[in-house]
This record gives sequence, structure tokens and C-alpha cells, in this order.
Amino acid sequence: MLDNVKCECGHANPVGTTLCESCGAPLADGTAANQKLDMRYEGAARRSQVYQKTIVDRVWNFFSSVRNAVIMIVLTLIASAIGTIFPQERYIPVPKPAEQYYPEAYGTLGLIYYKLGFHNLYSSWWFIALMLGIGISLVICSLDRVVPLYRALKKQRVKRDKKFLQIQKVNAELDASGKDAEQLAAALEESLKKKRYHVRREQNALLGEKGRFSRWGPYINHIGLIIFLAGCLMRLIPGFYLDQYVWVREGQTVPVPETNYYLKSVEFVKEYYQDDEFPEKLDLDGVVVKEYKTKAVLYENENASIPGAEPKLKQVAQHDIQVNHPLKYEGLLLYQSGEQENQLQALNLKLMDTATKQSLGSVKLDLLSPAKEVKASKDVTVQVLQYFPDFALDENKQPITKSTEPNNPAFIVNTISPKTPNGEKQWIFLGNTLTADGKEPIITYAFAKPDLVDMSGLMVRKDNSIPVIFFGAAISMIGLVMGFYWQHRRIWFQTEGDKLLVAAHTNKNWFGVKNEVVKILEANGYHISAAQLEKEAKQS
Amino acid sequence: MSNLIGLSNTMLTIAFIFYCIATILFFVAVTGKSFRNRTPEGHGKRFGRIAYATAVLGFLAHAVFIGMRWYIGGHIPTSNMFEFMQFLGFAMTLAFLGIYLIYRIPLIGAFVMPFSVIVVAYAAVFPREVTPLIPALQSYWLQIHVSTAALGEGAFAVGFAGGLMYLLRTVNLKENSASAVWLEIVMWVICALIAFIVLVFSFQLAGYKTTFKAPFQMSTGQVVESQVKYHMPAIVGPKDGTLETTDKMKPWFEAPAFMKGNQAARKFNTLIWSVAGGTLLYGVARLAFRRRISAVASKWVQDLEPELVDEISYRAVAIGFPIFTLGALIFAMIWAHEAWGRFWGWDPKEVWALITWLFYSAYLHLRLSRGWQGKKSAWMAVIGFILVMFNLVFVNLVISGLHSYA
Amino acid sequence: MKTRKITRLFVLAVIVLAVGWTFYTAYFKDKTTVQVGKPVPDFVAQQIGGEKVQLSQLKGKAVVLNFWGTYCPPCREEMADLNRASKEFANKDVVILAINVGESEIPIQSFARQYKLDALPLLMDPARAITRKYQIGQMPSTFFVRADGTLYKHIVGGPMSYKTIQDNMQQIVP
Repeated sequence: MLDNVKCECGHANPVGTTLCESCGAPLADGTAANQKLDMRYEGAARRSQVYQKTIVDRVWNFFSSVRNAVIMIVLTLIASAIGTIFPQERYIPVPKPAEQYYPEAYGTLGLIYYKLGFHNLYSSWWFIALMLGIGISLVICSLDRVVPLYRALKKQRVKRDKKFLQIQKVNAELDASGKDAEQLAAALEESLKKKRYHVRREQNALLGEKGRFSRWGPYINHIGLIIFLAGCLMRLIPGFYLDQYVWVREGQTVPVPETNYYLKSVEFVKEYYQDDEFPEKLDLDGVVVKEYKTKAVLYENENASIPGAEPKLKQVAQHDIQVNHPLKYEGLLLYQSGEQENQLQALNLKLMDTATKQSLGSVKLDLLSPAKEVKASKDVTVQVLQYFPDFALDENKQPITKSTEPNNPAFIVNTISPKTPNGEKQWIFLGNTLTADGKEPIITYAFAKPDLVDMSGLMVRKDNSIPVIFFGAAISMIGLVMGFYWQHRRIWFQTEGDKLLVAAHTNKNWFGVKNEVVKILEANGYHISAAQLEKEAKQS
Repeated sequence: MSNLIGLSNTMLTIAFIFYCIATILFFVAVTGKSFRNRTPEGHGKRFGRIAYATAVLGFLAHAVFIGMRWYIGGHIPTSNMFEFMQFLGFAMTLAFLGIYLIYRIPLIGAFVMPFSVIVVAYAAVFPREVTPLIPALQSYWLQIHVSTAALGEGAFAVGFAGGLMYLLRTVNLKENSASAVWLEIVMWVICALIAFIVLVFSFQLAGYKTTFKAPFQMSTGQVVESQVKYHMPAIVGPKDGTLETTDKMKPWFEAPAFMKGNQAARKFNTLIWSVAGGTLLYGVARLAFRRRISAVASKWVQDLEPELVDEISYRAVAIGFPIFTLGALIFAMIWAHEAWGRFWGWDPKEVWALITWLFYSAYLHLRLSRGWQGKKSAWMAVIGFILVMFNLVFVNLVISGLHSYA
Repeated sequence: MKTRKITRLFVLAVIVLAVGWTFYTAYFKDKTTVQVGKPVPDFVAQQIGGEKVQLSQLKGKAVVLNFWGTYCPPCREEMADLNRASKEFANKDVVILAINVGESEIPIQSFARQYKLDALPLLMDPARAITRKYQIGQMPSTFFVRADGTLYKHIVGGPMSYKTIQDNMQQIVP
């Protein structure tokens, strides 16, 4: 099925080759004399250009096309931009559900945006499909090109067919009559070596080459990107990725969700810059935060197999968690994320005999887990009969609690004292009290400053794919640097009769290679300008 | 300390002046060829060297400013809009100085230095006081991420200049082709940018202030009355706002409801002023020259070899792309992971950095694999840098979020 | 030629597998811990006015796990019916455990007094450890568990009618 294309020099080339693998001469059914020379893959046959028969081939060819890859890149670009028109769902600034927020805030456009799913654009199936498409293209584009390129560069011969040299972008035919071919070649070799070219010689033909490694740059870059994307995909492996959030009050120990760890906040500290810490006098509307951190202790629960069992905690880590300095322990990461200062922790109440104004002691009512009975003093006991952390009245005007957060605490207490041996029931709200019959109580409760604590919001993270992701990024960078900061330059010198044939090729920066050729020739007695070297612009 | 601050500000002013002089000298090197009695090439070379030296002096003064400010503030001066913009101007100048050494064409200076001037001037419209770092920025990554990204963008700026020069050289302005029209639009955009900076600068100098009180919805859902300060006369006012400074101009209309945030109306106002000012400036220039601006500019570049300019533009992008990738994406991801626990969150600034990266990646692929050289490549280099500026200006100011420090 | 075909086929096959697995895991795989037909997670909880209760020790009996809170209006509405069902199935080896989510003792006790829940065991989960394990979202959330420990049915939301409670409990009678 395969027809080989035979070159004049006798070598049989695979079909699709445009320049003979052996001598470089343009092949009859490859590059015609007036067709533009394509040196990108040394004229080697790229499979996708040749085989187009089966479905496997067609899929392969689709993904190996740079045009298709660019289309996918541009589509991704446009799609990403669309996702910034309105804030994505996770960045909605008010606590409203998405289906309410978008039409309310942005009208019809907002509604359309929401209905099309653009509020969650970056995790939608089609966006992920686009990125996977780019990933597949990265793999296949690279495989399709790097293999023939590598082979071609490895196999390349020093002595080339005259026609090969003549069709190069930079080439010249100089007069070498009267010169000794061998001496000339030796001199040119010296000049090339001075310019750090690696020189190969075949009789009197020279090939000076440097920077070949930079040709692999793009492929290494692509490999890096593939590793990067693979790292992102690895998040789907169970156990590899954790994305949770905890709120913890000062002094409180809370479980870290989806792990066997517990976290305690010892203290939340927030500091502001003092005036003397500013280098300049500033006209600020507010104050500038200097630092804020949660002094945290991490425990491991050794009794974690059955939920609800009493945790047996062993301290494993301690750290001041602040922005840029998360707590790190065995792959678990805790980041300082949010804060809510001055949260109600407990009410402090002073009891007083209403009639005699005599003080009867004081009680502390905890708002998270109130005790059933608290002693105010030797013979005064406060019984907590009912507790509503988030007090409200339902539609039947019955007292209920809206949540478990102490946003609006309300107690029903029964005060047992010498004057109230059978108890006196009272409502205690935030700031005022109420008796059952509305009259003056025998025992009055006065409010002292409540216990306030700061609450820290910590982001819980586990990401085993991070090393892979950053490794891929590093490889990608190496590839970029290799490919863009060095160039692959080749200069051929060949004597044919009494002519010296010069040709040069580079993958980028023709300006530089032309200058080098000019300098080398000048060192050997030939004066030619860079413009004269590049004839292609003037011809055709 | 205040002496040091004053001295450092003086250094920046000196740098700015030198940049301006360098710009003018580069123009002279390029345009004054015909009315001197020396050879055009000699004239170009001489003035080119003088202009380059001036730019270097400006650059050194600028470096001193950065060093001094670093010492005073205790952190690299890239932490707010003022600091970042002046650093970008610094990076653009650096990129230009480097690339000039390779190609030695004064005309590049005539196109890049004006942009350095514009960017440093734009920096000056922002609050300039030395502020201490907020906790989120207290990291050595501030040095690394921001400065590397700026350096990459500086190189893209040179690519932009080269692309623009190529288009002015090769687009046939006599025909009314799409290219010619778009080129003129780019000129208008540049006018708008200049007008914006001049206007903001002037009103600030005049100390113009006007205040509104308007209702805004907070993140908790609560609606509060808050104060909005304008530094330019209010053409558009905040929705349902009341003018407090009654002796100042009343707004002509109110901002539409979909503009969220208590600064939205002010930014919209600035935008209107820039567009209006830019159009005015453009109109004046058009009348004065009696031709399209691109026609005027294209005369300067007629002596250039198009292929060379094309290569300069490409080379600048090729040099800048790895730096930009490293600074704006990789360092950014590492820092985001350290600070916020997620290396990529699809917030608008990150997305637009990705869009810029994807765009330049498409540019490189189209050029290297599909043979898109010449005009197509030049247009992409121009658009790419517009994307960079969009990211800096629009995203930072308009689409606010976790990432905007302006 | 053959190697070319095989190589391509191999590369594409690997890619298809990777892509397929990605989409499956991201969008289709069921990630819940509690699934019909599978054993439900064990736990231990403190009962109001009693001792600790461990689920696995109730093997041989069918169990109804009802996750509720006094702050949840539909939960409040179905409590009386659950209490009644508890009595009805008392000697049929079906036990209802009402697991309170996140509240302290006092609100639960007064709620029990107010709604006269004399036959319904009330368990506490103040730290929400059990709630998280069962991935409770909306409440009330009721799990009907067979005597062998596997899940028969999961009903989210409420209030459930007495008939619903009764029918499902009947299905799991050992």
C-alpha cells in the first residue's frame, strides 16, 4: 500500500516526504521548485498528512491539526471571558440563591445568563470538554510531530544536494576559484567553532549546528502542560482532594469535616497599624489591618471509627494560622479565611431582690450548651427550663428557634430563692426580661457585659495532586525557556567546483543567523551584506 | 523619613521628565531627518544615541525611586495601583532598553517611550502615599509574582509597539479597508487613554471634589447609606443618590440599576469623561492634521523594513511570553495556593490573565505553525497588549473582587 | 504500517479511557455514603434521659433513623406521628430513633415535654458527627433500615403522613 518515493540520490523515502531524507534534494511530488520550502520538520513525512483512511486516522488527524487546536484555544478564551461578565455563583456578594440573584441584580440579561448556566461556567461539561480537547490535542499534536522531527534531525547528513542549499531562505553562491577547497573548509570550520557551532565535516562539506536542543522546547512544554492537566484530573481520585470549611470560636474545639482531626482555636488576634508605624501621615477613612491570625491547635481523634463516640484527642500540631501561612500537617492544610468578631458566647446576669435592692449573686448562662441549673449564690439557684438560641414566634405566635446559632438567645428560667421557694418563672431575652403575668418580678435580672469571643473561619484543604500540578508547570516552563531563548541554527558550507555554496537555516531569529553568516564570511575574506543573503524576499 | 519620601518622589518626577525628553528626542531622531544638513542616517544615529542615553538616565532615576521607596515602606513598591503602574512603566522601559540593544532602531523608542510616559502618568492619578502592607500581601511572593508579571507585560508592550509600527507601515490608508478603519480606531483608543490621564490629573491638581450620599446593598443584604466621593464633575450620578456638595455640578442622569457596588457610578463617570475627552482630542487632532492620525503616523515609519519590524514585534513577544507565563500564571498559582488554599479560583483577574496567556499562545501557534506573519501577526500583537491593559484597568477597577487591590 | 495503526489505536484508546473515567467520576458516579441495599454506617449517641445507644447493637431489629431539629418546622409537625408509630410497632421489633441535629439538652428536653413524646427515643448529635457521616442536607431526613442493617428507603423532607411512616415501617418488620 505504501509507495516509497525514490530520490535521485537513490534513497527511498516514505510517502509524503518533501525533502529527501538522505541528501535533502526536493522530491518530485513534494516540493516543486517554485513551491515554498517548508523546513519545519526537515521535510519529513508527518503521518497525519499522509494517512487519512480509517476512522482512527481521521480522529488522529483532527487532533493533530494546529488549526483545530487554535480554534479550541480561542473558544476557551471567549468562554472564559463570558464567565466574567457577571460574578460566578461562588462570588455572589449577597446571601441570595443564584436563581434569585441574577434576574434581580441584572434583569433580563442576568436571567439569560443564569438559564444558560453561565453562572457556573468553569465547571460546566462543555467547558471541561474544551479543556480536555486541548489536552488531547497537546498529546497528539506533539506525538505526530516530534517523532519525525527527531528522526530527521538525527539522520541528517552533512553533504547535501545542491538544490537543497539553493532553496534555503538564506543562501549565497560565492566565487571560490583559486582557493584550495580543503584549506577553505578548514578555515571556515575554525570560524564556525569560534562562534560555538558544533561542526561536522564530510570531505569538504561543512555543517555547523548549534542549539538543536531548543527544537525540543515546544514538546517539553507540551508534556509539562499534559502533566499539569493530568494533575488537575487527579483531584477526582477519591481521597486526593478535600475542600471544606470550619468556623471555630475562641476556646472551642471542633471536628474537621471529612477527616479524623479536631481543631481548637486558642485565640484570634487582630492587630492594626499604629499611627507611628506609617512611614507617611495618611488620610485614611479607616484603619489598616496589620495582621490577623488564629492561634490553633490540631488534634487527631484516635477513636474515630464510630461517629458519635467520645473523641480521644491527641495533639499533633500547633500553629498561628494567618494568610500566607496555613497550618500544614500530613497533607492537611488549614487556611485563615474568614472572621467574625465579638460573637455572643454567654450572658452574664446579676440577680437582685427587687424590693430590698439586695444583690443575690450572679450567673453565667452559656449560649452554646447551657447547664440545667446554675447557682447564683449559696441559697439562690437558677434553673434553665427552656432555651431558644435564635428566638422567634411562628405563625401561631408560639416561641420557636430558627437555628442553632445564638443570634437572638432567649431563656425561660426558674429562680429558686428564699423569697421564691417554689420558683419564679421569667423570660430572659437579650437585654430585657419578662414575667409570666407581666408584673414586676420578685427577683430582678440585670445584664452585665456578655462574654464575647471571636470566631475564625478556616478553609480546610487537602490536595495530593498539587505536587503533580506544579511539577507539570515547572516542566512547561523549562520547555518554554528552551524553545524561546535559544534557537536552532545550522550553516552549510559546500564547495562545488569553483563555487562556494553557503546556506543557513534557523527556526527563529533570522536577523541573528544572517549576521553570524556575514561575520563568518568576512573573517574569510568574503564581503556580503545580510540583505544580499536573503534573496527570497526579492525573488518570486 | 518625610525627607526621604520627598526625595524619592522627586526621583520619580525626574525619571518622568527624562522619559518625556527621551520620547521627544526619539521623535526628532526619526522625523527631523529632512531639515538638517547632515545625512539622514547620521542624524538618526546621533539623536538615537542621545535619546537612548536620556532614557537610560530616566531609567536609573526610576530605579533609585523604586529602591528608596522599597526602603521607606519596607516592601517592594508593587502593592497598589500607583505602585504597580509605575513599576509597569519601569518594566516597559527596561524591555525597550534591552531590545534596542539588539536591533538599534530609534523608531522603536518613538513608539515605546510614549507608552512608558503614559503609564507612569496614569500611575500618578492614584493615591501615592506609602502604605503598609495588608496581611494578604505580606509575603515574599509579592516581590516575585508582581514584578515578573510586570516584566513580561513590559515585553508585550514592545511587541505592541512593533505591531503598531508594522501596521502603520504596511496598511494602505488610501483604501477604506477594514484594516485602515480599525487602525484609526486604535488611534482613537490611544487618544481616549491620553485624555483620561490628562483629565484625571488636571481635576486632581485643581482639587475638585464632590460628594453624594446613596443607598447600597451590603454583602449581608442590608441596605446602608454611604458616601461616594467624585474627583471629576458628575455627568452620571449614583442611583437614588443625593448631591451633598450643592455648589458643584449636578449629575445629568443617574447610573442604571444593574451597575452594582458603591463605586460603580463614579467609575462609569470616569469612563464617560475619558470617552468624551478622547473623542474631543481625536477630533482636534484630526482637524489640525486634516488627515487621519494613522496617516500622519505612518509617514514616520515609511523608512522601516517591514520584515524587520515584524521580527522585532515577534521577538519581543517571544521573549515576554515565558516571563509572563512564569510571573502571571505560575508564581500567581503558587502564591494563591499559599495564601488562599486554592491555586486557581476562576476569579476575574485570574481568568483575564489566562485569557491573555491563551491569546498570546494562539499568536505564537498561528505564527510558527500556520505561517501567520506580517499583518495578521501585527494585529494580534496589538490586540494582545490591549487585553493586558484591559486586565489592568478594567478588571482592577470595575470588576472588583478578592483580587483587586486598587 | 501495521505498527503505525496499532500505535495510534493504543494512544487513542488510552485517551478515551482517561476522558471517559474523568466524566464518569465527575458527573455520574454516586458519591453518597448511604445507599439503598447497602449497610448504613454505625454510630453511637447519647439518649435523652437514658444511656448511650449504638446502632450495631440493635441488630435483629429494624430501625427508623429520623434526623430532626426543633428549628425545623416540618420536623416538629411529624414528631407526634412518629411517637404514635413508635408505640404501634413497639412489639414488632421496629425501633424509631429520633436523632437531633446540633442542639443541646435543654431545648430537646423541653420540646419532648411540650409535644408529649413519651415513647420516642431522642438521641443527641450536638457536634453533628453522625449528621455529617450520613450526609444530611435537607431535614427531616428519614432512613428506614432493615434488621440486617441495610437501607430499605430514604425519605427526604416532610412532614411524613402517618400512613407513610406506618407503611414503610411495615415493610421493614423483620
